[in-house]
This record gives sequence, C-alpha cells and structure tokens, in this order.
Amino acid sequence: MKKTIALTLAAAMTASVLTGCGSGTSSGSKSETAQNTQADSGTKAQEDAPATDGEESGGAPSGDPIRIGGIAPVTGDKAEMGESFWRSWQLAIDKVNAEGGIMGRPVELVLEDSKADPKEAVELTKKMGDNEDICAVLGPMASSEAIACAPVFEEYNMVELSPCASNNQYAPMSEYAFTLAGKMDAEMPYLVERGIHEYLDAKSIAVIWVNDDWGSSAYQSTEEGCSQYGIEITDNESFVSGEKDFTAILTKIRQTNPEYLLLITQAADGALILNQVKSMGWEIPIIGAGAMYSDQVILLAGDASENLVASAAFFLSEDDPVAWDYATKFSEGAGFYPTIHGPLSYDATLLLCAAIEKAGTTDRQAVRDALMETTDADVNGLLAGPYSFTEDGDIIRAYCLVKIQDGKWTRVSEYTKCSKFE
Amino acid sequence: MYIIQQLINGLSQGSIYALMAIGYTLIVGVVGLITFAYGEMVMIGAMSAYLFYTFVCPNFFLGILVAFASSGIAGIFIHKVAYERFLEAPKHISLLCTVGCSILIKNVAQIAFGSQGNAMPMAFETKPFYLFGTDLYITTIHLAVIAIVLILSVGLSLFLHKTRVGLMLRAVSQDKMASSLVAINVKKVTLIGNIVGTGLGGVAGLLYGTYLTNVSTVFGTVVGLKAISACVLGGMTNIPGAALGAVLIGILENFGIALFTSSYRDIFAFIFVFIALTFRPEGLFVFQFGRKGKGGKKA
Repeated sequence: MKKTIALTLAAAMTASVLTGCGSGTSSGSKSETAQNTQADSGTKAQEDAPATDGEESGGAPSGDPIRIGGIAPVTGDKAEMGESFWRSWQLAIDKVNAEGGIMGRPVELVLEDSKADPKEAVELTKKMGDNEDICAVLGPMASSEAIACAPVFEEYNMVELSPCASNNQYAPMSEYAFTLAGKMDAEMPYLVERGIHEYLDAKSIAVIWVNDDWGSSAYQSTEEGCSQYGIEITDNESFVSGEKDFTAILTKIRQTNPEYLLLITQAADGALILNQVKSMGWEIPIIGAGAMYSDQVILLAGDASENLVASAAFFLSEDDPVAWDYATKFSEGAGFYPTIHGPLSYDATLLLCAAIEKAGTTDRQAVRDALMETTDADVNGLLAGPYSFTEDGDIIRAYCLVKIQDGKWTRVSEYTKCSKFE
Repeated sequence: MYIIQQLINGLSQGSIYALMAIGYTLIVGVVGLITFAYGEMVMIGAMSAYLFYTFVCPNFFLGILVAFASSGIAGIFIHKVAYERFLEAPKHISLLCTVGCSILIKNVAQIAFGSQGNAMPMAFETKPFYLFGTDLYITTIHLAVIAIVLILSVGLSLFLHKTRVGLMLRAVSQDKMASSLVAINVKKVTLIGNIVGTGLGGVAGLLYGTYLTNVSTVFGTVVGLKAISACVLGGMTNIPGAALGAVLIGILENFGIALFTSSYRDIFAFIFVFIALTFRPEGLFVFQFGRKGKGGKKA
C-alpha cells in the first residue's frame, strides 16, 4: 500500500515539475528545447529558419562573421511570443547575408534564452558583454527585462535594441537603450483623436479597462484626449486580469447609454466582452485599443466581433508584397502569422545591420553612434516604418485604423500620427 | 429596474455556483471525503463538452451527458488513487493525494490542449427576452442555466431520499463502520457518491463555459474555490444550504460590482463568507434542531 502512495505522489510531482517550467502554452517540443538552448540556441535558430544560404545574390559574404547578440524567451510561457522575435531576427539576417552581408562579411545571430525573466536577461547581458565578438544586441523582449538590463548594457557600451519595450521609462534610461515600439503615450491619443473623434465622430463613450500598468495609463490618456475633444465618458469600469464574467459591469454601463464602448483590454478578454455584449442583446458599436488588433479576437468572438474598430501600428496585408513575403516565410517555419512583434523584430535587425555598415567597424560605441543616425532612408525592405530615433532612442510611430469586416481585419485609414506629435 | 437586472444576473451566476456547491457538498459532506481537485472536475466537464461540441455536434443535452460522464470518469480515477485505500486512514492522506491529482490533471490538460481560451460553440441561439415590456431581460443562457440547475437539484434530492443507493449513501455518511456491519459495501457506495458529485461539477463546468462563451484548461481553480466557500457557508453537510449559499454569493458579487468596481469581485464574496462564518461558524443554514451528530462535526 505504501508503494502505491509513493508511486502516485511521485507521478504527480514529476508531472508538475515537468510542466511547471514550461507552464502554459509550451508544448512538448518546446520543453525539449529547454534542455539545450543554453548550449546551442544560436545554431537551433539557424536550422529552424528557412534556409536561404543557397540563393545569395550580391556576392557571397566571406571572412570572419559579424556577430549580433539576441535575447528572447525561446522557452517558457512567453515562448510563442519569443518565436516571433528570434525567427524574425534570423529571417532578416538571412536577407542581409543573401545581399552580401555587412562590409562583405557574413552576419551571425548569437541567440540566448531569457525565458522572459529579467534576472536571466541580466545574466545573459553580462555573458554577451564579455564576449568581445558581439558588437550589439537585439532584445530583450518585455519592458521589465529591457529596463533591468539597461544599466548593464551601459557598462559594456553596447547597443540594447529592444523591438517592443514600450514602457515610457525605458528608452531615456541610457544612451545605449533603443526601442522600436513607439511611445506608449502616443497610441491612445491617436485612437481618441483620429479614431473616436474624427473617424467615428463619437459624442459619448463608455470605457472598460484592464487594471494593470498598461491599462491604467492607457485609460488616463483616453480621459485626457476625451476632455480635449469634448467626448463625454459616461462610465468607466476596470477589471482585474483573469475576470471572465462581464455581465455585471456591462449591465451597469448599459444604464448610462453611451454611443460607443471602448475596450482597453487584451485580445482574449476583449473577445469575451464582445460575446457577452452580443448575448445580452445589446447593439452597441465597439472600439478596441491596440491590443485588440489580433486574429484571436475573430477566432474567439466570431460574428460578435464584426465592425470592431481598433488602432494598429502595423497592418499585415497581401497588398504589401514585401511584408507578405516576410509573413509567408515566417509562417512556413512557425505555423502561424506574425503579430506586430515579428515585423518590429525584423526591422530592428535591418536597422542594426545598416548601422554597423554605416559605422564601418564593429566597435560597440561606433555602432551605437551610427544607429542613432540611422533612419528608414538607409534601409531597403523595412516593414513597419518610418523610423527615426528621438534623442532618447525611441521613436514616435504612425498608426492606422483597422476594422473587422466580413470576418477579416481591413485597414480603413492611412498611417498617421496624432496632431500632438506631427 | 437596474438593481433587478443585476439580481437576475446574480441569480444565474449563483445557480452555476450552486450546482458546483451541490456536487461538492455531496462529496465532502455526504460521502465524507475531502477533495481539492474539484475545480479540475469542473474544467474537465467544460473542456470535454467543448471538444464534443466542436468535433461531434453542438447538442446541449448530449453535451450535458458528455460533461457528466467525463467528469464522472475522472471521479473514478480520483477515487481509485486518493480514496479507495485510505478510507480508514487519517483524512490528510486523501487530501494530499487530491492536491496531487489536481496538479496532475491540470498540467496534463495544458500539455494536451494548451492554456489559451477557446470559443465555446453555442448549442442554442443566444437572445434576450424582455420582461413585461420593460428594459429588464433574461437571456436564453440564463434560462437554460437556471432550468438545468433546478432539474438536477431536484433529481439529486430524489436520488438521495427515494432510492436505495441514496439511503446507503446517507447511511455511509453517518457511520462507515455501522454501515458495513449492515452489509453496505462502503467502497462501492462512496465511489457512486463521488461519481455523482464530480459529474455534477462537470455539468456546472459546461454551463459555466456556455455562460462565459469561453472555456480553457485553467478556468477551474477559481470557481472551485467559490464552490468550497458556498459549501462551507451552507454548513458542509447541508445540500439545500450549500445551494442557497452559492446563489447568495452570486447575487452579492453582482451587487458588489454594481455598487463599486469589478476589480473587487472576489472580495465581496469572500468578505461575506468571512462575516457569515464569524457569526455562524456552524454554517448559515444549519439550525440546532434535527441531527447534529457526526455529520455536523465532520471536515
């Protein structure tokens, strides 16, 4: 009998340990990579990415490779997001190599797995800093990681080019900290001015926002924008991430009779709200903040998502051959189409390569100075431009409005900025 | 008007909690077992109904059967692993085993199906019915939930009080030793009780998934906690009490949100349980007359 208890408990514990480290979205194959990423993640990325070595056009690069570091969550519960990063980095490097490399030398990605953990990311930064061959680093992914690493990068005088760290504090931290995400405090003013005020001409809205750092700051900018354009906020309701039943707050909001409903939520939560609005028979047009621009919304909410309007920093469509070519290559390897993170990672790599070419050397300080001067004019084949870095090392992005029509996202406006930043 | 609408919302949410609480009370109070894997039973019911809807056919009544059956089977698994050999052993052994089972089931489900939310296919059209020509409405989902919960509660009550197995269950609940002396197969009866209890949890999972229009492998844990608090509120052994407690929790949550913000949803429910238990530690709906024997002291 004791044997059975022991066996049962052992089985339960083994299972929990095995899955604990890859908690959530990671599947079996990803857990396998957990064991060997430290050692050979760099080569893994190269093997996985579609091989383009055979089709070089601009004369084969030769000599010592130029090494660029990459820090991304290859395993762990952000692994799927991480894949957008390393796969896009590799695709961009393949493109650069196919076009003759940098200064005639091939480019090589040295990928390390941060598991989206700031502590891990700091250790990896030190490791890359000590490796004299690495001249600049792409990543890390999240704002929390990027902020934790920024002082370390400064010590090594090395570029930290995060594709999507959007926290307003990050880029001003050091002269080596760069991001392509665009300031977080630029997107909501855009949505309020160009979307709610100009495109929809709304007089009153109600807001549901997720109560975290992003949600509360986005709600604040919404409030400021609305008071500027005389849009009445009839009611605002916050919720904690993980909430599943929105019937009570929707009933409350319906009382106040707003013209539009604005959702500052992640895609999955937003889809729940769309469904529940529909099932209570409430016909109100709905607007979503940036995070709602995702195919997940259509997948989860179906019909209920029709006519949803949202803002987007990058709109992937078949009409844009360069972006579509990238997206097809990406999805061949990954099995899914990239969200905004993929194109930003791709562009970050191309910008960095152009900066190294411009600097004419792999000296870290020179690369940093050259990157500061690099704009979209220096690079061919960018996906989500235009880019020019501000003094802080971040950029002010243009956005467009998108809408779900016939079960598909369609772009309904040109890329513009809000008047504050024009 | 608005308050009445929130009352209707609370009532239907409370009904789902009630179904879970009934199943939980059946396992904990009546059969006398302790489980921490109940939230996973709710999840299994919801996920299997989701898979059935997606790959076979979106039929509401078949879905209920599937949810009941799959959670019932999971109940057999838990019974074999955590209870069968430890009926005479101290309770904490079974308890720890169910904690292990809960972790195991949750993680296996995540490996198999991922942790993302899935859109629940709708087995019937969702539309509101407006009441008496006013703004008040009740949706088809609310109606279905309340109806199914009522039917199952009445059915369970008949099962416990009008059938031979029900009688045995109640006997085992009062005294396992005495029951086996009068030739009741204690192992078998606790197994049946556990299957019915977990099966009801599975149906609650299906209803909850339908109500939210979304199911995932991780949504059981929090609602499992609500079931436990409703059960405690009702006095552990009292099935109608647990159901009432659960409905109260549902209504209070909705009123709390109506008056303050949804960020504090769980606070209203748990503060209420806390206050109620401070003044009535024996449970809100337990009264001193009638039997206050072993059942009352249990767990």
